[in-house]
Amino acid sequence: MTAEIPNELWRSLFRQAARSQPPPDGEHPVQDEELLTCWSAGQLPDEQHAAVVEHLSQCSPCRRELAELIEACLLQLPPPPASPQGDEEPEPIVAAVLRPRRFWRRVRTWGLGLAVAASLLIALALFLLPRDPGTDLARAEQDAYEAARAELEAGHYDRVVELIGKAADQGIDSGRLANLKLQAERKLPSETALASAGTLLAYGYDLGGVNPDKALPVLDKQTKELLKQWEEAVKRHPQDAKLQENYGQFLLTLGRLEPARRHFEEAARLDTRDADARIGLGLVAFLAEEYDGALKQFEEALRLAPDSVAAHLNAAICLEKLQRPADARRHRRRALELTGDAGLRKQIEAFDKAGKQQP
Amino acid sequence: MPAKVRLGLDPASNGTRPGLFEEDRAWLSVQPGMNPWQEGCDRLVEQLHGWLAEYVRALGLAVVTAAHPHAAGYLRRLWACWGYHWKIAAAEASGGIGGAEVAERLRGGLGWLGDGRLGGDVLRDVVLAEAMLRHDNAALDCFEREYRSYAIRIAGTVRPDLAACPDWWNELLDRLAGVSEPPGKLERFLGRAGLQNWLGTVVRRFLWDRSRRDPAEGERAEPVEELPAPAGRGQPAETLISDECLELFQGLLHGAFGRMQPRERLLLFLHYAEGLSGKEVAAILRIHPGNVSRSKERALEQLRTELLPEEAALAGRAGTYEECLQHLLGGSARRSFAGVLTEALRQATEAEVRA
Repeated sequence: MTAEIPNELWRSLFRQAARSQPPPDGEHPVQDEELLTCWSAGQLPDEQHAAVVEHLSQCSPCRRELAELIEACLLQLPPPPASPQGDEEPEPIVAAVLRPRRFWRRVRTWGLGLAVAASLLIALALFLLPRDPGTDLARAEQDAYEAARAELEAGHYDRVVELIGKAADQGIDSGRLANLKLQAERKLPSETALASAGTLLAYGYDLGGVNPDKALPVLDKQTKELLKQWEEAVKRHPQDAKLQENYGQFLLTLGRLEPARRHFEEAARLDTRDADARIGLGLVAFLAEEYDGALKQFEEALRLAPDSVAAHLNAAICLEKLQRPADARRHRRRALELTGDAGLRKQIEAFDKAGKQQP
Repeated sequence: MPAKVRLGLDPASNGTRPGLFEEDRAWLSVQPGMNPWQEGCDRLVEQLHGWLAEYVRALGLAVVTAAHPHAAGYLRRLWACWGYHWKIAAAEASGGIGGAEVAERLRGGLGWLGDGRLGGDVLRDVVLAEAMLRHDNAALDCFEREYRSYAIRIAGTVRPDLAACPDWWNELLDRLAGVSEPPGKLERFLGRAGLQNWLGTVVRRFLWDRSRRDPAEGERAEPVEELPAPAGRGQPAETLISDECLELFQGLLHGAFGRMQPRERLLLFLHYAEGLSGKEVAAILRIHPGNVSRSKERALEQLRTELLPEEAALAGRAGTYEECLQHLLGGSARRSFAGVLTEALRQATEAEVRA
């Protein structure tokens, strides 16, 4: 008689049983590249998704292939649902930043001695420090914010939503947390949407200010849901400049210029030193074909942030529209000096070269 | 000229028309402009023909007249694309939506799901795809002109040297159009996504398959995993589980798997057998990442519930099973295979699962 076998072997037993399933007949979804493309883009209709799940649950080779594609980063995973579905609720964990199970896992990893020492320190701190529920909450908000921002910048969007959801369960709420959550829902890796979408190039314009294929804004179910969430967040935290500014940018992408302008104006009023709010106002004006007004806003942005690549580039595009090519070139040159984006550098150089070749 | 004659789609002529729309009749017949059915279908056919002519002209393809034997193939593909998106749009709009509205959006490169961006005008793309499958030189040239540099950029994300030396391009083109071995990969392209987005997936996959087939220097295929020896013991697995016992336990598990709900079963398979993280499993199952642990717990409980009766039945009949179990559990008081297995799975950390 042997001793009890270790967990690893039990798991191997399970793995072998799972992998020895005979594959079902018929089409294999993992071989259908169009289906994978739609899936990856979150564009697979529910009924097809259900059929894929059903197939994968029976087909070991497809599961294996899928896992390999994911592991090799050849298949981007579809975005997760924006919020918990149906009757399912997020795990009831004390607070986003506390995560007890991970904590205990770490305790195991670090060793008991370290854990005991940490516990003693915490106990001592709790004993010595005066308790102030307001301070505790503020500290927890700060922790949640820092953790969520780090996850956002790392592109772990679902983690941001998870963290902020858990914080909300603990009554921790703030404008900046709401802003991070909405940024994560939009899959934007920065606290400021204009950080990645601050130039007119991001709205389909070229360096000459021409938009060859103006696309219709998408207003699907997900966008409507996001719009609703944003309205609620701004209503709840009207004093948060970043939230106002990002909402303005979101409205801008939907082609809602006037509401976008109002929110950028509010952001500029709340934070008079915010160059991004001025860039937002400039973008709105440009899209509304008010080129003089747009230029003023971009110049104001440059006064606040003289090294803003987006503001220089946008000003250059406005100046092209206003038939002032020499001034435009000056701003493009400055953008070229400032930018670290190789693609943008090439674009500017090609544009200037083409300009020189013209009679 | 009436559309049905012009297109060669008269049911009486070649029987294509009923097949074209009949499959979609349930949802299509309630859309605006589709009543009466026959007239609605005639309008659709006319529209398809109009697009075909427009795209053939725009892409500079060989002319496909109504009487051309290939015309029906183009129209079927155009309808597969338009119908697919129209059906989704109708479901999203919770009711009817006009086909023209759907088409306008598609021609602007937008669909209805996800972020909406399809990666191009899918109606144009299916015409180009069909022409490539028919080895139309103009189509092949157009494809090369429009997508070669994009494909090379994608290749660079797989392995930088593939972008520096795109000697694989002609082979890919051949595979897409099925020149040396029909049907080409484009046969399965129906415009559910734009050609550009689709090509991204195809190029990555193609190059990956190619590099698995002919690994570059320094790259070696991963060895196939077998039952590992338990960590820290150094004992080979076969000394712990005999083939007979292994077969017995696997049979037990297969029975339980068969009775589990597909979603729960898939969750366990992806996580414990394929080593995907909770986040990846969540994305595949479309569940919120915050719900993965609870879903996993539920799935493990379901596995245990399905294993127990099977185990009880087996325990009553077969002596071998008792011996195998006793051998594995080493006289432990926890004599339930279901209990021990689910507990072992439950205790696995993410890192252990991935390893």
